[in-house]
Amino acid sequence: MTDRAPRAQSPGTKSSVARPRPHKHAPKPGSDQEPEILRLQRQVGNRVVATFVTGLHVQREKEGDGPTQAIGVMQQQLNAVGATPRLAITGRFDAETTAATKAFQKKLIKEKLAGVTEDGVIGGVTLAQLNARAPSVTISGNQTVVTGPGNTQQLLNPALGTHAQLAAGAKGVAVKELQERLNNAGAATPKLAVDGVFGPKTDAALKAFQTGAKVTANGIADPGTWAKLETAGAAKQGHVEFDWREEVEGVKNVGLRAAFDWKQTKTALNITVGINFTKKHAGVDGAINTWLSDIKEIWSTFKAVNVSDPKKKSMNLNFEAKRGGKDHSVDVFRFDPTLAKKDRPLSRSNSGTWYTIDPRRSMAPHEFGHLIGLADEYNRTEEHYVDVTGEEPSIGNVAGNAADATKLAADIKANLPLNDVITPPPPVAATNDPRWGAKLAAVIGAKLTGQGGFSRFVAQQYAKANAGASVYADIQAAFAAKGVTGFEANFARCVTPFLYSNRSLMGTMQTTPAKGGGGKSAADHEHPIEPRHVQPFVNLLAREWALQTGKADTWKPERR
Amino acid sequence: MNVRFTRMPHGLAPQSWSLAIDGAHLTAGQDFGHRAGRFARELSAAEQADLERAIAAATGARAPSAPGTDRPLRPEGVTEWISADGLPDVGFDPHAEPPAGYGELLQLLRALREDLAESPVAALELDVTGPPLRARLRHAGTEPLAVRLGPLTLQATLFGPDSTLLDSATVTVDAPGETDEVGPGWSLPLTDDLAIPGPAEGGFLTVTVGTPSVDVYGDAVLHPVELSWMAE
Repeated sequence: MTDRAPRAQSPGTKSSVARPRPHKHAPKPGSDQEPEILRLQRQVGNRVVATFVTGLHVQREKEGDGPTQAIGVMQQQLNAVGATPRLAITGRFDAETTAATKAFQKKLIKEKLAGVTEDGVIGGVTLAQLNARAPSVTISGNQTVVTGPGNTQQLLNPALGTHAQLAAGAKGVAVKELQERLNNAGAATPKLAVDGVFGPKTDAALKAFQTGAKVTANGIADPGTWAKLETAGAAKQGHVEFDWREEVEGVKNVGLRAAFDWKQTKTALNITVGINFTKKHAGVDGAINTWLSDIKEIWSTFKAVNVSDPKKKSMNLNFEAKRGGKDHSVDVFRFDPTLAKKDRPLSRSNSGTWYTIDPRRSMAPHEFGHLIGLADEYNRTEEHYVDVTGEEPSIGNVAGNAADATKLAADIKANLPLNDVITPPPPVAATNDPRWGAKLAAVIGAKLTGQGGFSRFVAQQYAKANAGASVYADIQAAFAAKGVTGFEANFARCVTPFLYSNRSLMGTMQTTPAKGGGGKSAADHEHPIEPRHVQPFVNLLAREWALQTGKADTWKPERR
Repeated sequence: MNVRFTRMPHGLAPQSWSLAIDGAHLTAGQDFGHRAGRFARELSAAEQADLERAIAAATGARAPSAPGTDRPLRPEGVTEWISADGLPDVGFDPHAEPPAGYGELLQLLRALREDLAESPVAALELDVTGPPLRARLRHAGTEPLAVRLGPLTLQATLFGPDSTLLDSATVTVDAPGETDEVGPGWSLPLTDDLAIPGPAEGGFLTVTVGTPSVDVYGDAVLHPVELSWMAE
């Protein structure tokens, strides 16, 4: 299971200190469970407690301090409580951090919280309030502050919805969903047989529904019709499909078509993906069975809990990949046949090609994530990373000399546009010629070896010196100007330090150990599923629950 | 005759190579395989003639649109590119059918690249001997090579005849993290005994080492590389 440790706090900075009001789930005053500091606060008042706390030797950070991990956390916290504009997570207490701190303190003062001064210094009550309102937790190996649920399914075109377009003659689970929704929307009298065959009766019911819903009565279940159906009639099974896209490692237009079936039972929501495995080599069945088992074991670890229900009704979220079906096609090889024999141990699987020689246990579960529409969580821009994960960007490496950062920012600018001398000249346009960007990659690689605070500081210095320009966007444009449109190695080396990654299942898999025989297995915490990865399926369940019961209950994912 | 054949992974994992032909001179760099680094040799007259014939066959063929333009790139996939005099740049999925007219050219280029690993200029090589299985990194070629080693992870994996994983072993070596230049005769012992049995009939054993950084293209840029070894 994932390690989830609360952020270590300094003495006297417990999150419960100087809260303005008791939390609605707080221990009963006077009970044994009431924390000592709360008891004190209740007995002698906020002001006395605040004075006591600030008098202790506690963490205090102010402008000019850093770089440290602790300041990086504070910057994450300030973002989580609404810093505008967002703070760069550099681990350096800069003027922007001071301004954001003052804005937060102003808010606390407005709330009439005792012991707060608008001084731009983080310590005492200000720090306690940051810790209370935006606690830092460890997720997938990263210390981070969570700002939202994340948005792991990145639809290419949300307006198209998540359904296949259906017309007379269609068959399958998608048609069963249509028939159920039409029945429950009252569009069919008598009710349609839920047989998955789009015949004349389904056609007539659909046209009747369309007429009532004031959409074109053409007998085609198109996005507009599905949008109406999804709020008019419930279903307990269905089929989802949509195109998704991402920008990863500086390259746009990466993605797939997601497709899966779902079925709600009394105790679970079952997600099933049909994979048509094409065996390109013999002797791969054992590995396919292992992959299917890994997917089920690693993904089926959550349940959806109805937190609005006093009894906290829960439904297991079960995920399964099955052989056959039309959802996806995967070619299975023992190894990558385009590699020389001695190089084959380095065959690396991808979403459409799986190699049995690839020993990474996370491989099949990660690729399964793509097949159900989840985006990667490595080498993403800050904006995309925050959007997809709902987490603040990793603090990473913050150490580095400020003068070095300023010089590096200037050196990067001096190498834009790319000024490599390519000899002999590339033939034709030489798309993705790996010689482009060597000078820039050498400049960046000599100073930046990791992602996080120091790289972000360099980006900040670059922006300050260049009228707010993004170093990432400028590098991307410089390579594009040379015809580099893909994952050219120097391009990757240049942009990667300015991107963000984590070690969730959809993050980087580079350190995933093999799952061997003889009882050996990958460490459970190595590359876990996070709640955000199953959130879309919880949302699906909540939507259908509301239609079925008329209750707009809130459902949340929890580990089983 | 100018030809360039490159492989690019959709992700940062080392999986790339670049082969360039300038007249009769063939050079290449690759960041993964049993040898990672730089390679070179001269093409024979027959090889040049074969290439020119294959290029001529591709000339006039309808060039397919590149991946990523009319269709998305697969996550974690690979794209191979061919650029040559008189031909438009062509990118394709290595497992898909080669673009019409490019089959022979692609076959020749793949063979040249595989063969080229036997002509190292400056490369790192994973050398495994035994039993007991001993592993070391060594320099291959005649010219110095800039490397940065750092912590190295060696992983051995034993597979059964039906491709199932039977056993695995991992060894971590804390090698120096500074950039250094290594040359002929250099080697770095990784382990004296991998403590894993040899493969049974029909099975196989793989050993991989990651991730030192190497000047793969001779342009002073250090790229992470992965090295491999295999026994059947």
